[in-house]
Formats: sequence, C-alpha cells, structure tokens
Amino acid sequence: MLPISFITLLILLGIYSYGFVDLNLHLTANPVFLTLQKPLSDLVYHNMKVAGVIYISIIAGLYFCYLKILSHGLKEWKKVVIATVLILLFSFPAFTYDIFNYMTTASVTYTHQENPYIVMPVEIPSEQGLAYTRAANKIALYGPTWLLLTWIPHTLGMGNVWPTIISFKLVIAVFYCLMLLLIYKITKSVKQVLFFGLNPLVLTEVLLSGHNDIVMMVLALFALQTNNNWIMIPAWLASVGVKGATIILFPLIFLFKKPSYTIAYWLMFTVFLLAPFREELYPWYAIWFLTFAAVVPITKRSFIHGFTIAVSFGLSLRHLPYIFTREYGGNGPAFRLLFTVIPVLLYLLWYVYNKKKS
Amino acid sequence: MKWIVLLLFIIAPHVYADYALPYPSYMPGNKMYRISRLGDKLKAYWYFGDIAKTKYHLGLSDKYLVEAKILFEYKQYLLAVDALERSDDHFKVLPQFIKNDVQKANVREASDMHIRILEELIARLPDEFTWQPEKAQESVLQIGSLIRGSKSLRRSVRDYVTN
Repeated sequence: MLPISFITLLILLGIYSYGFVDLNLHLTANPVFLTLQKPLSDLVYHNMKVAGVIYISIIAGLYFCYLKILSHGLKEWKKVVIATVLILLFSFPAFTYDIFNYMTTASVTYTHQENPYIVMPVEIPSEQGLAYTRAANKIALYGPTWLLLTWIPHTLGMGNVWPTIISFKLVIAVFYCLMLLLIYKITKSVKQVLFFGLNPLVLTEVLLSGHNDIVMMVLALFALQTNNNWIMIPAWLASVGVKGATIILFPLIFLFKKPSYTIAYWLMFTVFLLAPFREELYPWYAIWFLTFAAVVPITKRSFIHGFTIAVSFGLSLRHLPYIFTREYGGNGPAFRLLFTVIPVLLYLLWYVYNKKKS
Repeated sequence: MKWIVLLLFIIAPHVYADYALPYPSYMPGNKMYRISRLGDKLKAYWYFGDIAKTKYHLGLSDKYLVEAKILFEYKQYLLAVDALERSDDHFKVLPQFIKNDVQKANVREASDMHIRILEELIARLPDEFTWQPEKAQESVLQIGSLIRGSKSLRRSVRDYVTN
C-alpha cells in the first residue's frame, strides 16, 4: 500500500507540474498534448487557490509516506526508486526557472560561442530562450565545472527545448543515482539511502526541478569519503567549481585526517543560513546539508535527522505563497518565512519536550 | 484625466544617459602600470566570442582614450600620443566583431563620445609639439594630425555601424 501511495502521489505531482509551463514556452505543437495541458495551465494560472491546495496535499502526502518508509522500511525500495526517477525525469521543472537559465547559458557558450562570464543572454537578441528565461540579464551564475558539464545535455537536446529540458534532467538524475550509490557505499544502509533518496524536497528540487546542487554535493561527498589526496582535492575543487558553497569544507579537506560528516553537515548548514545575505533562502539549498545528514548514522531520536526533515518540510512549503498568488512580493516573503520557521520550531519544541521527558 | 496623462507621455522629454567612459586607471609611472598593461593583453584570451571581443576592444579603447586625455592635460605629450595610438588600434578592429543591433548601438554611442573628447582636445592642444628628452634626440609630435586621424577613424566606424 505504501509504495503504491508514494508512486501515485509522484504521478499526480508529475501531471500537476505541467500546469506550470510558462505561457511563452511552446514545448510542442502536438494537439493531444495541448488539449491535456490546457486545463492544468488554467488551474495553475487562474485557479491559484486550488493549485495551492493540490500542492500542499501532494507534499503532505509525500512527507507522510516518507516518514512511514523511514520508520517501517520498504522491501521494494529499488523498484520505488527506479519508478521515482522515471516519473520525475519526464515531469516538468515546475517550481523554478533555473533549468532554463542552465539551458540559456549553455546556448550562449556552445551555440553562440561567447564567454558566458562576460556576455549575458539578453545581449544576444536571436537567443530563443529569452522568451521563457528569467535572470537573462545576468552573466553565468555557476562555475566552470557545471558549465563544462552542460555541454552534454546541450548537445543531446539538439536545439529543441523539450528534449533539452529532459537531457538536463537526465544529467541531474544520473548524479542523483550516483549520490544514492555513494551514500550506500559509505553507510551500507538502505535506510540512509532512502533518507536522502525519497526525501520529498530532494524529489521536487533535484529530480523534478533539476537543480545542479546535487552535482556539487556528489563531488563534495566523493571528495570527503576518499583517503587519496590526489582524488580528494580535485574532486573538492570540481565541487567548488559548480556553485562555490562547498568552499566552506576547506578545513575538512586540508586539516582533518579523517573528515567528520557531522562537522560537514553543520558547515554546510551555516552556509545555508548565510544564503539570505546574498539573495534568498531557496529550498534547494537544503541539499547541501541533507547530503551529510544522510551519511551520519541514523539513531533513534537523532537530532540531525529529525531537524533536517523538519527544515526540508518547511522549505518545501516556501513555494506555496507563489503558487497561491503568482507573485513573489507583497506578503510573500513574510509567509515564506513563517512556513519555513513554524515546522522547525515545532520540531525543536517536540525534541526538547521529549528530551526532558526521558 | 486620461488625455492629460497621455499628453505627458507624448510631450515629455526623452530621457538620455551619456555613454560613460571609465575612470582613469593606473597611469605611466605607477608601479602597477606595467602589470595592468600585461593584464590587458592576457584578457584577450578570456574575452572570446564576437560580443565579448567587442566589449574587450571597446573597453580598452575607452581606457586608453581616457589615459591619453589625462596625459595630454599634464602635457606628457609623448606618452599621450602612444596611449591615443593604442586606443585607435583597439577601435579600428571593432567592425569585424559587430553582429547585432545591440553591439551597433553601443559602438555608435562610444564613437560619439570619443569624437566629443577628441574635439575638446583639438581645441586645447598645439597642432605640433617638439618633444625634447634630456638624453635622446628631439622628435616632432604631430598632435593635431594624430587627433584628427583618430576622429576620422571613429567617424568611419560610426558610419559603418549606422549603414
């Protein structure tokens, strides 16, 4: 029953995601697809309150199943993980425009052959992605590791937007699978693998939305789990070359003989907390510390794991104000803060209460 | 009320921002001058692609024009002439990299600004100057002719991007 419920919710999420297709983005001219997609688009763009209720229902359902899986285990976990990857691979990146940014930057680099650290997409009027890309008035936001990697999906996409979206998500899915393998290699525990792999925030932000934080964290975790300096340092540098956040792991790379994953967790959590000073606390930044929570042994009433789940639930709710209002401003920031903080505060109260009781 | 607002949009003056030249960078004599010149040469490899190359050459043309202007004001005519020639060298290669209207508009604005600066210099500077270094032979600097040549170069690039 549990695997079926989980997969059903993911299928619903996948279908729901196609309501978020930008109105300027034409995935295909296929009339069957357009007929099926129109009611979803109407739901998201014109029936925002209903869209919001559907989102919170799916997310709450996924977290409920996730917690049940963690507490009772899941015999068919391999089939569930494979189904999860396949369903979300072909879903639409609903809650972010970052993947279009990746695509446009790759196009600037490989199609137009311009330096993306000098030339913004808006400076190329013939660039087709401008119609549905946000932040096109910025130079490349990611490091050279990611830029080089995007050659693969850019080439596989062959200049067509939908295949390119799928190709980018495929690369991200590959790194998601590599992450699961790494976690199993380090912990030898399926529970730890599922802690990361079936976390709804990981599913929405990595597999659905295609954020590249998973690439950064796979390289960082790979660096920390090896004893070989010839592998550790280049892997860590490659990780920094994706997004830069893992630079904070510098002491673990150079000063510790055997890096502590708990310290890594708190270091990445610190960077996560500093994110609002640069821009905003985006939900996908949770991947940074979630990665290390997955390799710290899960014990009964483990603070790190309970805290991480509470934070990831709060972050998953951050999309709600935008889904309800289709605006980022107004009361949006206040609601986003409330939705993030309340679950965390509730968890902290519950944890302290239980600690005192025992 | 609607008509008044509409009228305001029609008769309101157009907002226009001058093309902005950079602040002066390191000048000859500064310890960092040679390093900055080396950096300028190395940046050529970083600025790949037509749009990036336009930015590179236009940026350096602007920089060396500002350098020349300051040096002319301080009567360092020999160094100023060298800076102006470098500015010209970067400006004259621009047409080969211009591919779209955004670049054309940028180069047009830059040309206008450069011409304005050069006209100010022509008005203030001697047409000819004999540079007499202490331990070397004197040389006659054809300042007027050089500046007029630079102005003519900007005009021809401007005409190229306009047509």
